[in-house]
Amino acid sequence: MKITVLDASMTDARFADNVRQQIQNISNDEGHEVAVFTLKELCVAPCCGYFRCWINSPGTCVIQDTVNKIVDSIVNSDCWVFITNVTFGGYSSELKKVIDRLPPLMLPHFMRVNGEVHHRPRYRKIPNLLVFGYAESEDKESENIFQAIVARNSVNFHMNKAVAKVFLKDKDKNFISQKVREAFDEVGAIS
Amino acid sequence: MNKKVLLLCGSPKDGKRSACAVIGERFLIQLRRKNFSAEMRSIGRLIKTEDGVEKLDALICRSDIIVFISPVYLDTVPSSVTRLMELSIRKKYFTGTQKILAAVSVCGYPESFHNDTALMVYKQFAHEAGLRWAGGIAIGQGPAYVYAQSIFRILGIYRKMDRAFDVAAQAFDEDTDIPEGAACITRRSIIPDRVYTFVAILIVRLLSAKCGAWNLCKRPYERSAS
Repeated sequence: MKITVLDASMTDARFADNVRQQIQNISNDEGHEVAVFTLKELCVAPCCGYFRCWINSPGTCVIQDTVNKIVDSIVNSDCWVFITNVTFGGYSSELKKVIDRLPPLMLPHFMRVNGEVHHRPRYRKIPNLLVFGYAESEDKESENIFQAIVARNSVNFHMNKAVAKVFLKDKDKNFISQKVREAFDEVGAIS
Repeated sequence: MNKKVLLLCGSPKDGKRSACAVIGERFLIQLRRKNFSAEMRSIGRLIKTEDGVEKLDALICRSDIIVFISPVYLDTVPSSVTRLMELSIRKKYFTGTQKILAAVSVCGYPESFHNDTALMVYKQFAHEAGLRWAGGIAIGQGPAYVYAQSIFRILGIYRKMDRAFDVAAQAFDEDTDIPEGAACITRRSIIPDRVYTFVAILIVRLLSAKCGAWNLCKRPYERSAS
């Protein structure tokens, strides 16, 4: 199995390190191949909003930067992993900058999913999505929004399964490791 | 003294080609009719530079009501809007103020409910920043407001939207929340879903043909071995 990790943690490197360490442990045990992109180390331009990735160069973003490498990796992955600060219930701006650049993964054509209009997927591979969020303090409303966004993303990206976990600042390494393992188990990434 | 309203446009597009700018202009008209001092600024342009951030700080400082008018990118607010929200918390733009926040969320899908998660984010931001949340307006079929502007004007389609904005402006004037009714006016589709999706793909085909891109379904990153 191929896994692409987008690490967008900005405030707590320890949390991201723990999640990444556990992903590496699981991958070593299961023989998964992992590609990690640490977003704070990369220079990513924001989407310019003109849908040139559908019109001028179908399937390719016209902005030439690291995102093209990220897209190449995730298109060929069975599992996408996002690590982010929970920001007003959503993703951090660094992660959102990359997600905003993912429309080339979809076609401009429409289809109905559960009675709703969505864009058709461009690629045949149907991946899983795991999102690990880090929150400074407990906020049920924020967590509910986070879960809702991940669920909506999974429909828009035509995911097989999507799992979102929110962790609090004070959680220790063992707790995080256990939850990461559970999430991987939920999407069938552990035999 | 007139209340000041600042419309913060989250579309990364420049000028009139953005649905948010077109819709924002309609909102400005209704606000000015109610004697608000209202202006619209582009978030993307301002947060690019330190100078722009300072300008933004000053603009927010002198406003009584802040309205985000922004597209939905993949179920939530675009990165530039999130960035501004993060900055405003870090730089304490709203600490100790009694400002009001509202949002107009615009999506490209025919159904307006695709805006719901983005509106939840705006509301959560208001809560975390200590602003009073006045409510949100969800608008579907955003690109139609750019590509069919003349037809919409002839057919009087903007009247529905103007009514919603008039109700919202009235709510700002009376210091109340935007009534559910205003949000409901814009929630209904203006064009039947099938007609909208048919015309949308037709426009994409015409524009891409002009660029010489005939195959819209290319898979440039697919590896045959995978």
